[in-house]
Amino acid sequence: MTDNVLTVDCSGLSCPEPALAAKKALTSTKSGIVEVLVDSTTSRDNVLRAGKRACWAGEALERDEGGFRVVFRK
Amino acid sequence: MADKRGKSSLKRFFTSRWGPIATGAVIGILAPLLVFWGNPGNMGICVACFERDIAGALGLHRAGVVQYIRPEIIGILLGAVVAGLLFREFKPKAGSAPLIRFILGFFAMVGALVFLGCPWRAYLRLAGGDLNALFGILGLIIGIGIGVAFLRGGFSLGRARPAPKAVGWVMPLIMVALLVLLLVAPLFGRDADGNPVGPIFFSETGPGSQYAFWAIALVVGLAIGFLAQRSRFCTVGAIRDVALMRDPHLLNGVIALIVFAFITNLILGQFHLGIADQPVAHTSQWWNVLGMVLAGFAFTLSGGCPGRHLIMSGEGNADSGLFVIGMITGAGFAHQFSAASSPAGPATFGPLAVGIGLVVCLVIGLTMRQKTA
Repeated sequence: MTDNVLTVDCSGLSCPEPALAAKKALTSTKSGIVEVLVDSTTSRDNVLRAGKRACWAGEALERDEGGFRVVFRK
Repeated sequence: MADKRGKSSLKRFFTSRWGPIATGAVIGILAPLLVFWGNPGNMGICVACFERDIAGALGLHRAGVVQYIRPEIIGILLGAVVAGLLFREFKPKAGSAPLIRFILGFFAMVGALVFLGCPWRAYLRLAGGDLNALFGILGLIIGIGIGVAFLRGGFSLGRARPAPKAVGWVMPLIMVALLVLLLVAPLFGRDADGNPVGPIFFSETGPGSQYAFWAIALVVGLAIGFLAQRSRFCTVGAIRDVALMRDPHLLNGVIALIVFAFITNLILGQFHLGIADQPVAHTSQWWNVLGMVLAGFAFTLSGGCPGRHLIMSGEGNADSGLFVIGMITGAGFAHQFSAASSPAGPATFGPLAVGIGLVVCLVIGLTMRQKTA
């Protein structure tokens, strides 16, 4: 496990793409930290739920430019 | 302060697992009540049928039995606007393959009108004892499954971008205009046979002539739109998320809808188990299945069920707005081209329209893809 951060930009994508992309990233990455960028509360919640199912601890932070940065740590 | 706390616990409740369940339960209770108050059988709420009725009222098709401006549709969209503004989720955006979304809406409607109902009504029909709905739901599951396969393979309609406020207000204002047209019901005259020449047409017989009092229908729509915006209730996402993510969050809402509608129908004496002679339904099972295969496929590629697109339109999503307008346009074409079914069965060109729709959706599925990472 490394501390490289894998960033997945899902802003502007419609359901279920953000959650699907998050799931793909979380189940295949070797990084210890994965951050997923989304633009809506719906996507934020869906991505958090997808992370929970993949057994990652997630935390959502608001971005200055709007939307959220969902940070997952193994 | 107390108000803030109240709002935040409300926020948590509706985004928790109980949100979709509560929304499904409320729809399950209110929809049969709307039938009790005057709506057509097992059609307390049908997003596809009601948009089709609106298309007819505007003269976009001339099927005289299905023309009415349904306040439920107006209410659902405006209820989502209220919730979106109150919880700071009214965020205008646009630009994710708009014309493709229009076409998907168009053919989703064609498929739904071959079955005679959107996913909401498929579940409500089942809860009213209409076993033909099982074939529609089977088709819906197959169609969503095909869509899920494309999503797994990298299908994407691309990114939407934040848009100016005005873009987000287009659909809400169209709903306000429809409400005005409903209440004013302008009539420019009658032809030699005494038939109204429009511009607004209201059915005098058939399902279009059956409706609950407009204010009741509007308030029910507002309530459902508000709740569905908060909980992200989606009748297509329900099945999609189980297939794609093993996530039953939204499916619980659909199950609640069916259970509560079943109980409410029993109490109101509206539960009639059977296949023959069900209200606004036909027994041509192949086309019940295939119509909904097309609808489920198109809904999945578009990102949600027709109710969800009304909600997202209310949040300012112009791409969903165009999907809704695609559905209304599709309804006009489906009736004008003899593709929409009737209780007698599929219409002459229904099968051809479903075939064309499936080919179009397959081409869209195969050609639209974008790197997400």
